[in-house]
Amino acid sequence: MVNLVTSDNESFTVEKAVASRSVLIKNMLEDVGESDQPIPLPNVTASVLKKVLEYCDHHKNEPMPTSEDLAAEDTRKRTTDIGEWDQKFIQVDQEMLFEIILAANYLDIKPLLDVGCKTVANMIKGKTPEEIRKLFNIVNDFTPEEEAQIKKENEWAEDR
Amino acid sequence: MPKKSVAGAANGNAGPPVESSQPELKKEPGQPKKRRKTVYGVVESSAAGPKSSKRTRRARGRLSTFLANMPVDVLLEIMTHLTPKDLLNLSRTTKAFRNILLRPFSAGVWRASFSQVRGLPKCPEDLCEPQYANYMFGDTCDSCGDPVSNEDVYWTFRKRLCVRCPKTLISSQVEEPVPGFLSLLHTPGLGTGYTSYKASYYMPEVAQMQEKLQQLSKDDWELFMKERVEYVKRTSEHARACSMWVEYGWLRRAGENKELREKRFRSIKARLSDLGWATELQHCDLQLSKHKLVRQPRALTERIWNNIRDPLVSWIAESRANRLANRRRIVVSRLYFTYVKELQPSSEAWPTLAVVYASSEFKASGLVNASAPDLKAAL
Repeated sequence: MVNLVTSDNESFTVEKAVASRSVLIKNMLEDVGESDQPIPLPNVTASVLKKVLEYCDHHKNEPMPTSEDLAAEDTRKRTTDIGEWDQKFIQVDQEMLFEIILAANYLDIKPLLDVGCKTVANMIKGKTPEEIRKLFNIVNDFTPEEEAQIKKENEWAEDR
Repeated sequence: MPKKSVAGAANGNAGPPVESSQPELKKEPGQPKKRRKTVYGVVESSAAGPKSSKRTRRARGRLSTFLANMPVDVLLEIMTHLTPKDLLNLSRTTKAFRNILLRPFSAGVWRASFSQVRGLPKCPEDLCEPQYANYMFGDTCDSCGDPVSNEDVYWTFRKRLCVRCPKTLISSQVEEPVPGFLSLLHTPGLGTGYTSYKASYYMPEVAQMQEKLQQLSKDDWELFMKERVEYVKRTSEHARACSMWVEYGWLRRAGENKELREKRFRSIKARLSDLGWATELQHCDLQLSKHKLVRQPRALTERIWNNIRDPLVSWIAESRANRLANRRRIVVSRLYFTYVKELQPSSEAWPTLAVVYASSEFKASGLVNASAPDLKAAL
C-alpha cells in the first residue's frame, strides 16, 4: 500500500498498482524503495486526487503505455474518440476538468491527460471565436480594427 | 512571476511573449516537469506548495485563469486534436491564443491538424501553416474581411474575395512592359473548370512584378523570370489540387457523414436496448434511423446522449403506443366483420362497430377474448 498526502493535507492509502499509474509516483517508489513514508503531492488537492485515483483504480490492470506506444500514437491518425467509461468519468464541471488535466500532467498519467485534452478539444470543436470565448469565459482583447486585421494576417508573428 | 489570466490581458497586460524555444510536444515518460510554461511564461510549479491550494475553488466566471494556468505544452496537446478551422477560430479568440498559434513553435500542431483532414493537399513550402489553413478553411474576404463562402476563392491568386473586392483587385487589362511579363503572373481558372475564361490578373501581383522589373538588372531579370515561371507553374498546380479538393468535398463529406450517421444510429440502438426497448426497436428500426435526432453525422458522446435520451425514449414509447393501438384496431375490425358476416339477413342497416361492441349478443358470441378491455380503447 502507498500513502499519498495532498496539498490540503488529506492522506489517501491506495494499492501500489493504482498509485503506479502515475509515472511520477512510480518513479518515486522505485527510487526510494519500499517505505511507509507518505508521498507528498503538493500540487493536487484531495477532491482532485480522489477523482484521479478513481481513474487509476479503474485502469489499474491495463498495461502501462510504453514509449513505443507513445511514439506510434503520433503517426497514427489522432481521433477524439474517448472510451465509454472514460467519457462518463470525465463528465465533470469545467473547473474540475481543468484540475484533472493539471493533475494528470503533474502526476504524469498520459492516458488520463489524453482523455482530458480530448474532452476540452471536443468542447472547442465547431465553435466560432465568440462561442469559444463564451465557453471558457475569456474576454475578447482585440480592438475591432485588430480583429479585422488578424483575419487577413496569418503569417508567423514577429518575435517581439 | 504573477499569474495573469487570459482575461487579464484585456486590460492591456499582454504579458511577456512565450519563450521562443521549441517546447517539446512529447515528453519522456518518467521525467516529470519541474517547471511549466504557461501562456505568460515559465511558472515554478511543483515545489511551490501553498500556491496551488489557492487554485482549488474559485468562483465560476473566473475559469479563464485555468486556461492561463494551463502549461503551454498541455494547450498544444489539446490543440493537436482540433481541426484546422478550429485552430483558426481559436487563434482569433484572444491575443494569448494568437500568441501561441501564430508562432513557429506551434507549426507541429497545425501539421497534426492537417494530417487529420482526409485528402488535404500538402501545405506548400512558400506558405506558413496558419496561412495555408486560412487559404483552405477561411471564411472571410482577404481584402475587406467580410464573410464569404468557400466558393469565392481565387485559388491561383491564393485569395478568398467577396463580390465587391475583385472589381478593384482583378483586371484583364495588363500591358506587357517587356516580352514574357504576363507569363510571370498567375491567372485564375486554370483547370478549375471555367468554360469561358478570359485571362485576368491580380493587380497587387502585377505591381509586385513591375517593381521587380525596375529593381533588377537585365541579366538578373532574365534569371528571375526563369525561376518565376517555374514558381507560377508549381503554385498553379497546387492551386488546382486545392480547388479540386474543395470541389469534391461534398462527395468526401457524404461518405464520411454516412459512416458517422451509421455509427451514431448503432450506438443509439445499443443504448435504447440497454434501457429495455430491444423488442420495440425491431418494430421501428427504419423510423428510428430517420429520426432527426438520430440522422446526424455526429458521433454520440455522453453529453449528446444525455440531451437526446428523453426525447428519444418518449418517441419510442409513443411509437409503441401507436403500434399497439393500430394492432388493436386491426383485431377489432377483424372481429367486427367476423361477427357481422354471421348475422341473420335483415332489412336494417348493419350495426355500427360501437353498437356491435355494446350488444350483449356480441359479448356472448365468444369472439371477444381476454384482451377485451383493450378493444374498447381501440374503438
